[in-house]
Amino acid sequence: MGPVDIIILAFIGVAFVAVCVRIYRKGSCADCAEGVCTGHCSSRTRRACPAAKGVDAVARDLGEGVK
Amino acid sequence: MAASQLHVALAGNPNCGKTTLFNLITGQNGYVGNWPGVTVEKKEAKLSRDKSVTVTDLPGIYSLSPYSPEERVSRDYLMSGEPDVVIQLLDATNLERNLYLALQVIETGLPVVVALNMADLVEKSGDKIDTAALSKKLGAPVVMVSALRNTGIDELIAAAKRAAATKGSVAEHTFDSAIEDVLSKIEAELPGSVPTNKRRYYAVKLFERDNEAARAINLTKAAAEKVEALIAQCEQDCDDDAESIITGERYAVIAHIMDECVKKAPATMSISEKIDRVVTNRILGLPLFVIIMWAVYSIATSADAFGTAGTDWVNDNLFGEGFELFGMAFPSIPAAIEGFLTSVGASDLVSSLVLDGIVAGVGAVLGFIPQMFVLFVLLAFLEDCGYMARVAFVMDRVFRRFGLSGKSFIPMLVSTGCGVPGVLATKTIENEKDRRMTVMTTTFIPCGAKLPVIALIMGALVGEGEASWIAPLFYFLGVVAVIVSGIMLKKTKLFAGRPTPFVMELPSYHFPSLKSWWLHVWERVSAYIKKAFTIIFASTIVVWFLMNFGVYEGVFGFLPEITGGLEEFTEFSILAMIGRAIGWIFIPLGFDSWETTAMSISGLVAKENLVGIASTILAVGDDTGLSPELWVAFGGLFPTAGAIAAFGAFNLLCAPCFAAMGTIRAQMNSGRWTAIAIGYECAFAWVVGLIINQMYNLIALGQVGIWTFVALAFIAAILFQLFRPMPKWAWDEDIAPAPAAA
Repeated sequence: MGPVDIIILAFIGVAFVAVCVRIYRKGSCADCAEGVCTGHCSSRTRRACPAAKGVDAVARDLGEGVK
Repeated sequence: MAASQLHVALAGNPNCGKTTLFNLITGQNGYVGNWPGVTVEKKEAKLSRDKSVTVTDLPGIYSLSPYSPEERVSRDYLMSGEPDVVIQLLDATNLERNLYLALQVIETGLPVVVALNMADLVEKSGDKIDTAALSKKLGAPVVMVSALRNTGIDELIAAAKRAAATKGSVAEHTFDSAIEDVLSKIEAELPGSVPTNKRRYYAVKLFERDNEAARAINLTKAAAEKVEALIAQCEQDCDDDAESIITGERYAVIAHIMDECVKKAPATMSISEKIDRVVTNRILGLPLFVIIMWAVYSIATSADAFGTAGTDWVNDNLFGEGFELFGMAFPSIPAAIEGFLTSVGASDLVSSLVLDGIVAGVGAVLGFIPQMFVLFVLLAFLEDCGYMARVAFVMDRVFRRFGLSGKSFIPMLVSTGCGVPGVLATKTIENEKDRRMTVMTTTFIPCGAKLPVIALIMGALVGEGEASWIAPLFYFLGVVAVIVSGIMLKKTKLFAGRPTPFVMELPSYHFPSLKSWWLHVWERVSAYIKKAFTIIFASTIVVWFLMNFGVYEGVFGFLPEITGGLEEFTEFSILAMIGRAIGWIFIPLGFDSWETTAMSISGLVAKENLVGIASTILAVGDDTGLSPELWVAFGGLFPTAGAIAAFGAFNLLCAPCFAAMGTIRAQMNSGRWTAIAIGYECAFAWVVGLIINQMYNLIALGQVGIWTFVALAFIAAILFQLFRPMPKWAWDEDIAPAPAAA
């Protein structure tokens, strides 16, 4: 295994660890996989997030523009 | 009360224009936070024309019954003594429905000004509202406004200031004399500490058996017993429950007010109403939903559609032969990376990790972006144009038959993008049994990540042949799984009970705003891309390691090297060992090879990972998930088409990805319930897979074995649970409160 291999493997290793840390901190899906809003999203994203809004707010949004 | 301390509460139904009015009169420069103890948004701001007036925007609600956090915070705030006056905003185009809350707010005894919003639309429709008569009937001033056109606002503010200087509104409406008689007797039982203008409100609340109201006024035990006796007698006389009696009385008052104060123009049906006669029709609604969703999934996965053409381009050019742009030739991504690795002299191990592991795995998932984009464009259109609100209404009718409400359909709608927010959205379903059942079944609906799995199964079943029916079929398999599970579970003690009431407004059909449409699509597509470069990237590395390392002739190491270039080196890998240890579970389902078992396990990391790992395991590294080579290699792992379909059904219905499982754990807030949920999903998926495989063997191949009889026994058990009458005790369990508004 030459120096080039070590550099490439180190690069992949760092990326792998960074991804694992991100998953640990933010969850692996939709950034809110810990079951609660961890506050990592921007407030704009949070406002639009169905997970943070809940069923009633999603239903209200679907009914927006009622006539 | 000093003028410098005027507090105005802004109350009203959802979508009555409250936020527009709030932004208009405050200039939007306010404080946005949460009400104490709940995640309900609280908005407060100074009136832009008079900084001595503070306006608090209450959440949009339909009644003051304490069933939802929004209703609770609104009621608590109104009764806290803080607001000096309430502006009760009504959508004048839906006056009848909006008056239900207005009557209750007036009953609180607070000074109230009724603002009829969208007055311009009322005039346009030809209806006439007699505001003077309405004011007299309600016992509160009435002002016509249009928050959108900024008309009537000055009069409204002036009326609010005048009303604040009064002692409060006195509800002019009365109920049936028998009910009034009971209410006056209840009033007599109230403690002397309850102010005169609030005695009516508390009498009505006690009649509705509102325990929070009873606690708020410290009703003595003796008085509570007398009140209960009065209510019980009234219920017996009226042959109805107390809450329904009051609801009925309020609507009777509203009907009388409408007769006296509103002159309707000759009825003409709007385009939306005409469409709704078909779309929400009792008979046509559901088949139409099936046809529309069929079309959506067919378009997204059809061989002639834009999405598939895009995916083919990615497959053939970006990950295949390379491509030309503006006369310049570009190599494919794998070729470029391979060229780079060769030029720098990377070893076989590193080349294998990068090309067969990362590029193959991540590339297989990324190849689906064009199809995913088309699917999300179509789904977002249906949501934004108002159709999905109708589907919730139609599904409410279906769900109520087996004891779930339409509220449970909303998380399923969210889950078509991703199951995690779908599960999280269940948090506001008040009935715990309904919430648990919704959490358990919502991930049956195919999320975006399952589309690559469906495409892989579709390719393996029909190759490049036209079979646009397969993708929708798997979508409806999810819908049917939800309905079948709902019916079966609702007849068990764990989930028995009446459905929670669900009130939802149906918007007019409209072409979506391009910005909101694009945001909906981008949120979902970007989450998919993010996953490809995070969780998929990490898991392809792990799977590559498990597949390329193992024990050969007693030596552990990099298999391509220690086996001396043996073509089937993966047979000695760690992944093969794990797959073989678990594979026996799937023998009755027709797939027990270590490869298919490993794919199923990898699907638990993220569903689309299954395709990435298939690409890695089957060594078709430079192809994405839609490549015919991958289909052929994947199909070769199964003895029959029935086994392929069983594999698809199992992986689409079994436990969702780890992220969704974590969310289920958080929502259930119980290890036992999480185990029940995940266990049920896996068991249900296994049974469905078993039935598909065994019935295919029986019908198509004429094969009969012991598992055929097990499958038939499961079919009989499912049919029995589906069609046996709902046990009587099931309706008596955990009776949910009656609807506050119809």
